[in-house]
Amino acid sequence: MKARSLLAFVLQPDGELTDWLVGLDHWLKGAPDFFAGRPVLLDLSNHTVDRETLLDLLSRLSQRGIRVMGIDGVESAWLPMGMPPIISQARQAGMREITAAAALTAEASAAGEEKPGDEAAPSTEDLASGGKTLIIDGPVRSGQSIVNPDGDVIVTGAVSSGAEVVAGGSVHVYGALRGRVCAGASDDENARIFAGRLEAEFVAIGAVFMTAETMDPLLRSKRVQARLDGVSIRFTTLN
Amino acid sequence: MSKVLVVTSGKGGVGKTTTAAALSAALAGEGKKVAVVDFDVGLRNLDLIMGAERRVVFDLIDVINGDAKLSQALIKDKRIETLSLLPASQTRDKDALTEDGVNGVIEELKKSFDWIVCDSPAGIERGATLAMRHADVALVVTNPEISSVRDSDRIIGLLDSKTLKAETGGDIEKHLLLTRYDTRRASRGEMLKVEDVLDILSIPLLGVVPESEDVLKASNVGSPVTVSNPQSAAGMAYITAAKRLEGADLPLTAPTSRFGFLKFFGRRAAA
Ligand SMILES: Nc1ncnc2c1ncn2[C@@H]1O[C@H](COP(=O)(O)OP(=O)(O)OP(=O)(O)O)[C@@H](O)[C@H]1O
Ligand SMILES: [Mg+2]
Repeated sequence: MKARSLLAFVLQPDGELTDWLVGLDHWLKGAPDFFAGRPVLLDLSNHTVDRETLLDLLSRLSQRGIRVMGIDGVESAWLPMGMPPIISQARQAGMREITAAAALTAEASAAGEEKPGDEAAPSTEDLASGGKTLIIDGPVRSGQSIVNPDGDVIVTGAVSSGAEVVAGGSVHVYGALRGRVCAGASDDENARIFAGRLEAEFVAIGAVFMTAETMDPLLRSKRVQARLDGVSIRFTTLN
Repeated sequence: MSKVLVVTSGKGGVGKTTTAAALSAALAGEGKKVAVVDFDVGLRNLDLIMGAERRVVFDLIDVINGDAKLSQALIKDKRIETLSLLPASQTRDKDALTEDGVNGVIEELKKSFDWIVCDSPAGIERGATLAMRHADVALVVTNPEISSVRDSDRIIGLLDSKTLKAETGGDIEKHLLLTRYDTRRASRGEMLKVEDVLDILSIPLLGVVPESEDVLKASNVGSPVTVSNPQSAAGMAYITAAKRLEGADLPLTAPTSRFGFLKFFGRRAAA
C-alpha cells in the first residue's frame, strides 16, 4: 500500500440543513458540473445530526452528483458498512490537501467509477513537488487538469474552456483564461489570480467561488487580477 | 519516408470521414500512394463514402486477428490507381482493436504507402486514441461552433500526450481544418468566425471547407468530392489542403458567398 495525497473539496453546511441545500442547489445551477468526479469531504462539525439525518443528507448529495468520500464531525459508531469513512482533518470550509489512509481507500474505491480516458479529476500525477512554482509552457487544453497544491502555477499560454488549474498559491495565466482556476487551495488567503484575458468559467480563491454568471461583464476580456476581500473575490484590471 | 496522418475531432459528425476520403483521393490524385484506414469499428462509413461497400471481403480486425493478409483486405480504388482502402469491421467488437495489432498493421502499410490516413471514430475512447497513436501528422476537423471547438481542444491535449510521438518527446504536427463553414452565418454571428476558432485552438490552419451541397451529393454517389466534383468550392478546398500537407506554399483560401475568394493568413501556434 502506497500513501498518496490528493486534493478534496470540503463541504461545510452552515445554518439549517434544508436551507443550506436550497442554497447549494441555487449555486449548482451556475456551476452544474462543479463536483462531477471530484472528491468531496463533508464536514458536519457545526451540526448535531442524527444518523437518519446524515444518511438522508448523503443521499441528497449523491442525487446531486456529489460524491462524499469522507465525513468529519459525526459519531463513527453510526456509520454502516459502505459509507464514507470518518476523517478528522477537515476543519474549515474550502479545499485542502489531505493525507490519510481514509482518503486512500476512498480514492481506490472511487476509481472504478471514473469514465475511461477521463483525467480531469485532480490526480497525483499532476502534482508538483513541495512549495515550488509549476510552470506550464504553452496552453492548458480542455480536459486537462494542472494541480500544484503547495506553490504557484504559471501558464504561459491560455487555459481553455473545460480545463482547470489548481494551486496552493497564486495562479498566473498569460494567455486567455477561459477555464476554471482555484488559487489558495491550501487556505492561502493571500493567493491571487492573474489573467491575461479574463473569460473564466469559474474562479476560486481559498473557499470563495465565483462562476462566470456572477462576474462583472465589464471585466470580460480584460487583463485582470483577482484577490480575496473578506468573503468575496475582488477583481482589478491591470495595465 | 511514409507519413501517418490521423483525421480526428473529438465531436461526432463534424466531417472526419468526408475529410479522410476527400483528402486521401486528393493526395493519391497527386500521384502519392495512399492507404486510408477506417478505425470506426462497428460504425464503418468510409467504404460507403468511397463507393467500395460492395467489394468488402476482409477488414482491419481480420488482419489484426491474422484471419486475412493485409493485401487481401486492402481494396483498390477503381478511379485512382494509387488509392487503397482498409475498411473497418461493422460486426466485430471494438475490443478486437488492440494496440499491438494496430501497430503491426501500420508498420506493414508503411512499407508500401506514402501516406497512411487514419479515419478516427468520434470520442476520446480507445478507438480514437488508437487511431491517433502512430500519427506523425494530425488533422483536427472542427466545425465553427463552440462545442466542436471545445472537443477539438480536448483532442489536441490528447495528441500532445497520448501519441507515440508525444510520449517519446517529439512534437506531433497538428493542423486545423475548419469544415462546414458558412461565411454568411459567421458574419451574422450565428457561427464562430475563423479568427475566433484559431484564437482558441492556436494550431496552424490548413484550410477552410465551406458548407456545401456538393459534399452531400458526393457521398450519396459514393465518390469523394475531390473526385466527383473537384471544381466545386469544397473540392478545391480539399485539394489545396492536400497540396499544403505535401508542403506546397499555397495561400489559404476560403470561398465566400458573395465576394469570390477571401484570403486568410495562417497563424502559427505560439510554441
Ligand atoms: N462541407 C460539408 N458541407 C455539407 N455537409 C457536410 C460537409 N462535410 C460533411 N458533411 C456532412 O456531415 C455529415 C457527417 O459527416 P461525416 O460522416 O464525414 O462526419 P464524421 O466526423 O466522420 O462523423 P462520425 O463522428 O460519426 O464518424 C455527413 O452527412 C456529411 O455529408
Ligand atoms: Mg466518421
